[in-house]
Amino acid sequence: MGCSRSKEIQGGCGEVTGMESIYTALSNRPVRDGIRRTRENLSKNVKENLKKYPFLKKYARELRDVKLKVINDLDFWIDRSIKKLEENGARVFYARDSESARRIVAEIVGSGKTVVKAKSVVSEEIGLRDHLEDMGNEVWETDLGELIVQVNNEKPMHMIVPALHLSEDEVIRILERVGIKGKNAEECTDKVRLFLREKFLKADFGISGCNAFSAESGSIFLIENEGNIRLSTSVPEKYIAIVGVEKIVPDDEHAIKSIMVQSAYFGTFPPSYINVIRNRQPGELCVVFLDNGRKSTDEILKEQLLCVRCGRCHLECPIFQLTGNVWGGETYGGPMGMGWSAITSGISSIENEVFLSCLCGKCRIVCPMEINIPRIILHLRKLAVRQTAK
Amino acid sequence: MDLNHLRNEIEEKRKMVREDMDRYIDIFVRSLKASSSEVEVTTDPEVVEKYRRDIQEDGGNSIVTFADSASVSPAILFFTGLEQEISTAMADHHISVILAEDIMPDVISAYRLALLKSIERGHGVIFGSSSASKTADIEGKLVWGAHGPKRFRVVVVR
Ligand code: SF4
Repeated sequence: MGCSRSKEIQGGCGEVTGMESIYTALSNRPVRDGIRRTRENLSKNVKENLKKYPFLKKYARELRDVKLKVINDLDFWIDRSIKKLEENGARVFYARDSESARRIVAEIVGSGKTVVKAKSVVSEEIGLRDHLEDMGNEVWETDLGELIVQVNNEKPMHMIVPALHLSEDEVIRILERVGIKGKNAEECTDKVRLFLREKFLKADFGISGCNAFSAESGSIFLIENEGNIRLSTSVPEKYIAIVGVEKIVPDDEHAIKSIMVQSAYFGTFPPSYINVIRNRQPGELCVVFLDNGRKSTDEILKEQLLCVRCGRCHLECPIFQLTGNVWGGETYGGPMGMGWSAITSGISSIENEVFLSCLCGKCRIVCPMEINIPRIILHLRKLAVRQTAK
Repeated sequence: MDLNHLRNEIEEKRKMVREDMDRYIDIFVRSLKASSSEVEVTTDPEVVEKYRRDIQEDGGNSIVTFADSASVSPAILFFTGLEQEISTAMADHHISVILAEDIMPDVISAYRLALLKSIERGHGVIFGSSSASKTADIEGKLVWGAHGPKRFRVVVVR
């Protein structure tokens, strides 16, 4: 599929740097229109959700305290989670970095297999799909938006709405490349449903991330609206979950609260589907816990680990509204992408980009976890300056 | 996990709903309709058989299942078991029957009731549904039936 996605800019495969692609993105009207449309739809929903279900704000505050406790004692909670999963009959792995995570999953999957993937930012973080494809596997993203960006060989423009920058006509043309022919959004969706049904039925492995993990029961909690996660995690005989260690919460109650908060603050509440997997019998459940910098963050950056990945801060950020996911690091993007990129790829991955934030603080206001993102960005600026001065 | 404690907790919640059943069912129905689900409240004990006969005659890809629990608002129905999860995920039309006594006042107690049943049955999977499958991934246009059921119908049996 051609060029490296890290260097790609919308509409071409030129060899451009991160900063150049940001400046190019500024003149990309469809990105701005897509973000505006998504924001208009979802912001209204968020307000309504919080008004209709006032307990959500209470859940969010409680969750912040509970997640903080876990993050301050990660080793204890990782150990407890691993023990519980093993009791449940799962195969459990621990990956210190993205390379070891890729290696673990590649060893489980092998080659010549068909893999169906649920949308998972953590799998983007470790570059899993490309790696599995390079090993001779057929890998399909099964979330509609994610499939569209996979076929178009670009990175998701938003972690929850990956194809928000593409028009209906563009999507029609993109899907035609894999033989999916529809005249409009409805027909395309129906044809994708049929196309991917066949992949689900023949898949050897299903792979997902994890929205929340309960150390109490050793369960993976996932939410969605399409039903592709349900199919990816249940139909193939073998299922692999990749769990960022910050997703651990002490018990099922807080896992439920976490997924409720995530979906409400994103703007689709209640989620159409909740999937909770404690074991996979018949079949096999493999769980890969991923550190990749999470355990060694400094005190200020640590706050970013409270993030429930609702994607709210992206849509409300004035810089993201201009650039989309091109700004904010390779995987995460947007204001939360500053902290996440520094944690998972090091400060050099965003050493210029941190200076593009206008520090307006809107991200902090809309964040359900009340993460002080401007403080994180200021801190990263200091680290970037120090690094450059070395 | 202390199962006796879980059972007592669920019984308390059940009592709460029983004492104000009409109001709870009314809220439940409204919440489901807000998610564009179809809802029917009945006292007919034969309703499940009726639906099973209908879908057999119809020959379409429909399924009738019993939900293990549900929360009032937001209305989410919980089920257990991998086989049932696969068959409901693959169906075009999911008809779900819920006994009024299994409706819980909140999502956490509804989840706990499903959890208890899953442990008692040795099921490793719990899944919840609040509507038919949907997506707005193409230009924000809402389309029903992305991968899962295109229709979701809930039958409340009193
Ligand atoms: S930083 Fe806050 S608003 Fe942004 S994705 Fe994370 S939880 Fe949501």
